[in-house]
Amino acid sequence: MDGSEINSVNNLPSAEILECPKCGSDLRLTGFLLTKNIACGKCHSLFAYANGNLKVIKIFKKEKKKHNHIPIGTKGTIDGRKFEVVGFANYREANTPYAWDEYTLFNPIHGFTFLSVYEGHWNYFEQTILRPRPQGGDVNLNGDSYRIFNRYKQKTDYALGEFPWDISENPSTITEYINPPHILAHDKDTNEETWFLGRYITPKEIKEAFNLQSHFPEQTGIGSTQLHSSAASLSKVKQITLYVVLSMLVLQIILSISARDKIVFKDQFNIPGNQAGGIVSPPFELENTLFGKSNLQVELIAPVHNSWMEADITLINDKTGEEFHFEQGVEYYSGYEGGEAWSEGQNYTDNTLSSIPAGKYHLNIFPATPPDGGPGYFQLKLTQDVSMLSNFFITLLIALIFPIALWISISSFEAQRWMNSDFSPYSYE
Amino acid sequence: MEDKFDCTCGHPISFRKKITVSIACTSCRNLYCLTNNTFLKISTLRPVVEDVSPLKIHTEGKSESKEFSITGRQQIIYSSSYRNLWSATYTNGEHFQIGESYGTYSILNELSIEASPAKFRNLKVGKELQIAPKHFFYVNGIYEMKSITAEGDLPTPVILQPQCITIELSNNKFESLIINIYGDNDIKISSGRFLNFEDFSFKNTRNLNGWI
Repeated sequence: MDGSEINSVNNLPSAEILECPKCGSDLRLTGFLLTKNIACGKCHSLFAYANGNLKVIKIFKKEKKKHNHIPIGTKGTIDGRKFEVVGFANYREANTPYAWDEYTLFNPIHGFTFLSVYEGHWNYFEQTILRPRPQGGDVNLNGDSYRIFNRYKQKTDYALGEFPWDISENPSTITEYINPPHILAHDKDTNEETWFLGRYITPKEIKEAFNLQSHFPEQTGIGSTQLHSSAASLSKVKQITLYVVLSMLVLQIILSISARDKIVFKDQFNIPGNQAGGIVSPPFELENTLFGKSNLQVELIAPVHNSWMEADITLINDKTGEEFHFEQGVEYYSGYEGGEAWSEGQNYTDNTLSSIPAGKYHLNIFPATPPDGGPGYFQLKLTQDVSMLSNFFITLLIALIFPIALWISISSFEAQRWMNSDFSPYSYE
Repeated sequence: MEDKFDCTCGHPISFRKKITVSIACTSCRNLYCLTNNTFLKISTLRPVVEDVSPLKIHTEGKSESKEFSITGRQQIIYSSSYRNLWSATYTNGEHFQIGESYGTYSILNELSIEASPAKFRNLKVGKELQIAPKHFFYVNGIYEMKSITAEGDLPTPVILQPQCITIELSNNKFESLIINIYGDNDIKISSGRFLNFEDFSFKNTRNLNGWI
């Protein structure tokens, strides 16, 4: 009899308390045959456990002791399954300073699962029976691609509680693949390989799962499987943006096709010598359109040269008296300076008035020129219901501001995530 | 149909006619195997070790809508792992095994394949093995058996070979393949599929003490 036999066939055993052979402290045994190592929290000894016997295999340095935020023996429920925290270890990527904590959870029905925390970011791991397919250097599980993120050998710096394998020697190579918020960890040595499927889990979820009030480590940086707060909505935003842009394009095409581009007025006017004098145009008609109102493009041409011309123009509805006032001007200068010809401005300008009701109109024009001369005449051309591409582009820009800002934010987030990886697709200066 | 005989320790042993092949005395753990229609004592088994399994002999369940009952188990201990092979019998007398290890469960049936151990000796962890056209498995682990013990009534022989290499394989169709190579020449292959604990609708398990 070695103390490892079944005491009660009808009942699952309660945790057994063993005595630490080094310091006499209590050591808790929950997994029985499944437990390979037990570490003492008082004398920091790590024991191999077999057949009821404890054999010391390592003593951790006292200064390597780490605080476990979830006490051994705490019970909680994750994904509807009850677990007890049976082990806590601080691992380090061999030959690097990168270290993380890992809690071993146990349920007699479902076996062992793990909670891993690095820089305040937690992942919950379960062993998976399914074997991901290789996909170049990456892997694919159930149609989802996981990108290689890290490959390393691990070293145990500190441990407390029990473990289902020998943590004193870590001959296996661990490769991590991510598809946030999920992660696949591949643990392989010469005799065995195991795949673990993990997911990002928030400190709040863990505290709720184990009914804890304790303070958890602060989060720093971006976790390997952390999701951007808006990542879930990015694909939806992309989809909505696509629909909006397509709808705008269709609307613009319809508006362009249906635009009349009708010249309703075209005339040339002499500029009166008396600057105070105004010009009254002959009447013209703006026809009714589909929307009742339409835009009106006003083109002004004047033969200015090293001069300017401005006009204060009022469009007046002959029936209602409604007025639309605007100013429009042209200027053009040219010369030869320092061996080079230069020019500035032009003798043409256009301006588009929007939402002008149909009806009979005339123009009151008050032209102005420099006192020392200017053009003697100018031309005005009014075109009703012109196709306006500028409106389309302005609306398009507004529609794209949010998706582009979101995309930039997520790209920056991803670049930060991959800073912790040896396999980053980003280049960092 | 049940029959009985007395163990050398005097304890009566009940067995199932035409089904039981191996049976262990619940009192002294003597193992008897059916040889020429007679149960012969072949060894005294080590006690089954507490492995926190929720299952026990007389646990009942359902598989493919057929009810079964667990009659015995083999507990195989490797240097870094373990496996329970629970023997289960449907009400119609057909039997199968439930593989259990670290919270994973599978239904297993022994294959009657004539194969040479040499074919499998060079398998390495992670390697692919094709057992039929377009039917692949991958090696998850290669384990050397440290000890084997058994309890209850088993419709299969308990092979107490001192040397046994177990090769565990699986694939993405939730299928499982276990190759046991005994000594130099003997080989046994079992195949099946993984299931969740809940899929078996187990009844009369050990008292789960609020774990479920």
